[in-house]
Amino acid sequence: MTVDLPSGVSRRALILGGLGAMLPNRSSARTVMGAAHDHGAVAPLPLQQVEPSQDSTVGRLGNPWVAGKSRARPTKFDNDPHIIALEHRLKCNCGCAHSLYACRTTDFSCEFWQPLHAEVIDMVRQDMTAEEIIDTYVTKYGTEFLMAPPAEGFNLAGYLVPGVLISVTAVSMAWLFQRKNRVAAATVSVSPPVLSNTLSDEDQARLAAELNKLRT
Amino acid sequence: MTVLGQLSLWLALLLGVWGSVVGFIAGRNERPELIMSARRTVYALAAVIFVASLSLMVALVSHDFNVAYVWSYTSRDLPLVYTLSAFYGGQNGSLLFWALVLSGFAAAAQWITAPRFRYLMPYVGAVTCVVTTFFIMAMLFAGNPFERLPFTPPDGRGLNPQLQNPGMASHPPMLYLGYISITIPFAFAVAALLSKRLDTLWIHAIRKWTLLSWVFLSVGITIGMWWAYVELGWGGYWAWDPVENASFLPWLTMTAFLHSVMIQEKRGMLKKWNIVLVVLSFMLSIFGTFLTRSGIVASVHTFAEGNLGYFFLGFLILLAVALGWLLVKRLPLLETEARLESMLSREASFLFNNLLLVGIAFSVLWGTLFPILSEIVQGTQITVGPPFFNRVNIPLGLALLAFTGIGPLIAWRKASPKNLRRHFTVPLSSAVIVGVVLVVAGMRGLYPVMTWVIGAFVLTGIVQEFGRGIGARHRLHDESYPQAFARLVARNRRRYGGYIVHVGIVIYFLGFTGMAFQRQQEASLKPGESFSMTSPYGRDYTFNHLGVSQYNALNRVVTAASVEVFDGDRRIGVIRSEKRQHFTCRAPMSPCPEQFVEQSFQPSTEAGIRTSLREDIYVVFAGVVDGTEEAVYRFTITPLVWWVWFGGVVLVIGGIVVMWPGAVHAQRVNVRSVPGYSVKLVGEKV
Repeated sequence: MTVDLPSGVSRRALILGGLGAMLPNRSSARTVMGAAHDHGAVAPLPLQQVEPSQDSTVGRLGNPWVAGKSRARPTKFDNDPHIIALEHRLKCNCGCAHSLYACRTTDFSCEFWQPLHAEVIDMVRQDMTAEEIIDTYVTKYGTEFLMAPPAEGFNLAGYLVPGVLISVTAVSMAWLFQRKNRVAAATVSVSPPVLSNTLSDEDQARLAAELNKLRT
Repeated sequence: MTVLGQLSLWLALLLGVWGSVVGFIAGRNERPELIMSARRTVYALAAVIFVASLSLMVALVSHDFNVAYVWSYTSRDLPLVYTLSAFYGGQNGSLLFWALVLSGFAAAAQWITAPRFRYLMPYVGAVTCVVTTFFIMAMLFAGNPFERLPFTPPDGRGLNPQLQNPGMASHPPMLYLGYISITIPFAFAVAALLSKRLDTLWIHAIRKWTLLSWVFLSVGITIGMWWAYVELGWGGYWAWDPVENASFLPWLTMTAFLHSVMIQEKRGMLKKWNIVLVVLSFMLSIFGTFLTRSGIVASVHTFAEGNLGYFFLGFLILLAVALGWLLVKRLPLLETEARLESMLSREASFLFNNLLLVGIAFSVLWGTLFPILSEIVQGTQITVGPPFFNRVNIPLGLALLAFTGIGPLIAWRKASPKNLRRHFTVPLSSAVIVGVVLVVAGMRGLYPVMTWVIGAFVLTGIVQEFGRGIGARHRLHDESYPQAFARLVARNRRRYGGYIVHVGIVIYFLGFTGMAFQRQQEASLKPGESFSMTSPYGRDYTFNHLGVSQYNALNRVVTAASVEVFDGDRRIGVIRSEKRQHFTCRAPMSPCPEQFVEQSFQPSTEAGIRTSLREDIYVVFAGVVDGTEEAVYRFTITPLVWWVWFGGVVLVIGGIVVMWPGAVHAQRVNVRSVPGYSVKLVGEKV
């Protein structure tokens, strides 16, 4: 994997020098650079010529390409609770198991979320309800684009089987208990006393000794 | 050194096969010289695998990039701690790590197990040798950590930046220790089955081992949650990822076993069930390893390469068949000694607790494998993500939490109405009061409110139990309250340590409720601009963007964005979040010639977190706008995150209290209350 360096920045400059001199706050950068030197890292970098920003109140970064992909300014839709709730139910499909929301706010290298997010915003703008948007998604991309399968058809088994199994087992346990207890009660009524038969003479003597001890 | 490692692996294979065969024969015919041979083979196996591991360590530390594994997971500029942790950071090394720890545990089991369990040890040795041999074979035939490249690259590919975190030094080892140590209780269970000695004795032999692996798993899972929280940048700590689930499954079945084993000890019941739980826990630990290595389900953790998954699948099937057959053969010896007398008893509550634990394990396994099932049935591999797992498991989890409170309060054998009134009135009243207070205070959401209500019930029950015990000691022995507390716990570590574990579980659950109130907002800020956000508690936080800086640090270039945080008008500090771009030099030269500089991996994100007892402020620097200092941030406020980590600490403290050696008194708890006997006989040994 090779990096496409932006114009004006050579690899040698980057590695031989470091980025300290390009920083808006040079003093703090040099401090950290010093720490890096102590660990045998790279040497200071000579100052790079940086293009001035269009906006005079905001400085440009010396090496924006190491700060991840460029981001667009969040819009009101990005923080809309309705859209966020919807995007928690949709899958990002970046090769990860994230929701669309987690993907667009976490996996900053993925680009798949951008068109998907734009589609959601478009549908919200068209005043579609959450369920209509989900249905449109499923029609267009299939159920694999949902974070959880719809509770219908075979997928219903996914939701119901654990609960049904646990309930059936619990009821069976209770039923078995009742049944065994009935049988045991019937057996006990015709059985001779159990205690004296189950104890050996030796045990009976020890038991008597213990009981005497307790009495005294 | 790698030649030595390779030779050691082959020698280990021979020793493993010998140990397996001789162990089974020695267990069967009890010939002393064979028993001794089996025992010594276990020690020799541990020593040989240690030599192999040392060889890999030397290769890692000396940057021997001719070794494919060293080249794949390290680089010259990787800090030493991560170079060492690369030992288990990749697939092949993790197999060697597994074999190393397992052989160490197996040797320790032979060394420290009390003489009264001697009759089990040849079989235990044989089983541990079989499992170790499987891992050695997996290395030799599917994932050899000593495999060499046809040439020597000047530098390695480096470790994934997300693995370059202190969590890497603790989470995988802890989890592995948990997974691997399950093999010892499993070996004892199989030994008991093979020797036909299925009384309660084998249960005593594995008690500490079971607790040990449970504590390791608990610590491993909790550190994993913390690592995911601080490293992945999504603001959560549990995503129901298949590999996360795989670690959770044996934890659930082990927890079930730790409870049901008490019924076998006290009443001689659930013998079959306990064997099944131990075997199931071991198989689930192997299943987890299979999931990670087979790639059959999509996971962020998976490192599937080659055909290793088939090895694990084959081993699992073989185990299932062999153990199923053995279990069926031994069923007549596993008859219960007593029957359940009432559904209102501690035995019944433990039964339902077991049902829920195993039920949750099943539902997690079901959800994890449902995409595969769906592909087979419907032809499409659907996604089963957090919405599914939360919907199915939260109600089950709450029911389990309720049983955490019921179990310790209800009487053994049969609870009378008087017993129920005496033990349940105060906890139930406190639960009702907490529920009313929370609803009046404005807390909404069925599950969070229920969690707090049930949590209050459980905690009050535990406090009541401690209070009664301390009060009794204070009255009877004239001890001060702190002294009475210390002696109460010391004299019944298992019971009161268990209560401490329950407190930890409640704290976990309370912490989890915070996620229901999480708030997230995105904003782009130029230096000097501010963004305000209200926390779920109604506090107004203001984030003032200070600027973005870039600098070199070790093996990476860091872009750091900082915000000054105000709680109302009060400045509470600066939070910094980073983007880290790692680089590797492809030549063994310093300074690195520019043509050899390469970017390694995508930029990783380091979240900035300010933790408090009340809530966490979590700041993620998402990137910059048009290459300027205008930064895009995601601000997240999540209540009660700290409580999750604290719950883990309390749980581990409880586990250590239970495991703490000594206390003659603790051994007396083994006395069984069999119908007809209500006192322990003089000189009776259980």
